[in-house]
Amino acid sequence: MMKKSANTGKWPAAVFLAVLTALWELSVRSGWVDAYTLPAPSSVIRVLFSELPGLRSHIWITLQEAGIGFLAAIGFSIALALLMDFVPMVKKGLYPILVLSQTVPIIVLAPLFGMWFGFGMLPKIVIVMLVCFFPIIVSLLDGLEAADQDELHLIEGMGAGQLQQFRWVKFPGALVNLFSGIRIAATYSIMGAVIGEWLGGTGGLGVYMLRVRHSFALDKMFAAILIVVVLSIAVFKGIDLLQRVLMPWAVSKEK
Amino acid sequence: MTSSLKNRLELVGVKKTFEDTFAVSDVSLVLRESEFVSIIGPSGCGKSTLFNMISGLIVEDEGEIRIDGAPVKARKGLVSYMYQKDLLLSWLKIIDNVALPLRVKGVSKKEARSEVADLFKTFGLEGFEHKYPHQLSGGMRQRAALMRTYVYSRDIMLLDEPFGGLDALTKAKMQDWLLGVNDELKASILFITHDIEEAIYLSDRIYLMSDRPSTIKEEICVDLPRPRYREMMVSETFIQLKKKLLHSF
Ligand SMILES: Nc1ncnc2c1ncn2[C@@H]1O[C@H](COP(=O)(O)OP(=O)(O)O)[C@@H](O)[C@H]1O
Ligand SMILES: [Mg+2]
Repeated sequence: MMKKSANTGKWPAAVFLAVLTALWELSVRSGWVDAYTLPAPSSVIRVLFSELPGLRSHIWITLQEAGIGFLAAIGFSIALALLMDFVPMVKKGLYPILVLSQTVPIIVLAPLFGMWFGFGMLPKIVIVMLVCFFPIIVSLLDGLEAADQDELHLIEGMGAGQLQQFRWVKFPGALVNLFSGIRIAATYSIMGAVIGEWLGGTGGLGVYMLRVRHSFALDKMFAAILIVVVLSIAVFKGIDLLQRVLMPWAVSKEK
Repeated sequence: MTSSLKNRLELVGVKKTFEDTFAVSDVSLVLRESEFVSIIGPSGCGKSTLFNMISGLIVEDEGEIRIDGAPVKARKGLVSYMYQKDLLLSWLKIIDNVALPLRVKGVSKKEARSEVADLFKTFGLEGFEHKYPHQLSGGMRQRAALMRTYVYSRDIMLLDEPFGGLDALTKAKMQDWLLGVNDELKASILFITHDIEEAIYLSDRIYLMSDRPSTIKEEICVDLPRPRYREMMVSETFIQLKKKLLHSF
């Protein structure tokens, strides 16, 4: 019963979204809203398809920046978590800083990276890496911290050293947390790359947005926004899928 | 008769205090080759603490714990230990949970799996090798945990209230099953319970522990023949033993 109502829960939202889009379309067509201020959804879609061939390379650049930065953030987080787990002093020193850093809007550092690393892909990758890194490492550390003491004793009793304890108990137990961090980071990744591109560059969706802004092509702007939204949702869903593959025990629990 | 067998495990005058709790005051006991010995006592008297010391997880304050004559001195991994909770890792399939002790020792996944595969029949878990722990019933999870304990070492096994959380019917089944299995395995087992009938039904000897700070109040030999049957529970000997234990409590 519970399950069913949770599933049908998606429908009202879809209907709501459809109604809103229809209202938007109607208000533009009826002339109630000026098409130069707010292009109709239908023309946004039309422009999207006509622009797509030219947009491909921009999308690819943004995806690369987001992807590389995101993966690097995951790799760094796991490596640092391992180090912190092994060396208590590192953990004592770093943990409070990491938690505090959550309150710092990392994105304000973006202009700095432009100054340090120029206008290529590197500064964007660094930005993505930073905005993704903090949510991932903090949730991963939370998960490691919450490891079951009895399970640790059990495996210690089998003669497991620290690495073995990490591999068999701590890390798999923290996977749920790791993934919730990764999910947040996933949405940040595309956004981080686009914001990085706004600060200057030669390609990417952010650069495209700057260009169409100069020519006041609002329909193209909306098309770009739509792509950013779709990409973010796609990454998010991709992570969901990956989690299902990597954590089959949690999937079988749902059934 | 049993005394001719050699001592596998000995506790001599063991004492343990935690910060604010005087848990174990003076415990001496022995476990001999292929013997099934129960420890029975009120909850909180320090039974699990004894097991933690034997398995080397914590160190006794005074006295000595010897395994095959050599002091344990906080060495881990000399005995296999089944905790009160089943502690099956939820992210591993049953077969991998059971094979975990081998994996920790460095055996490959494939080899470890094939080594434990044959045991599933004995432990009544055939067909559940590739399920996850949460897909099994309480009784099956206990059996899986027991199996993992056995895989680690079939030598000296410490079982801490393995059937404590089970309903009466499942518990009875598990007891019969354990008796059957141990006729084959011939392990030396130290078994914690607070169920008097269970202790008599399964054991060769029973140690009765006092309240905290705990000592061994009494040692009782169970003169019931093996193999054991459930009908023995209404035999004169069984009832006399039960009376004696109830009286001592
Ligand atoms: N690690 C520990 N630190 C402090 N107190 C403990 C610890 N382990 C057990 N105790 C205390 O020692 C007493 C005996 O505990 P335990 O051995 O678990 O009892 P039992 O298994 O007989 O129920 C309890 O009062 C418990 O609170
Ligand atoms: Mg206990």
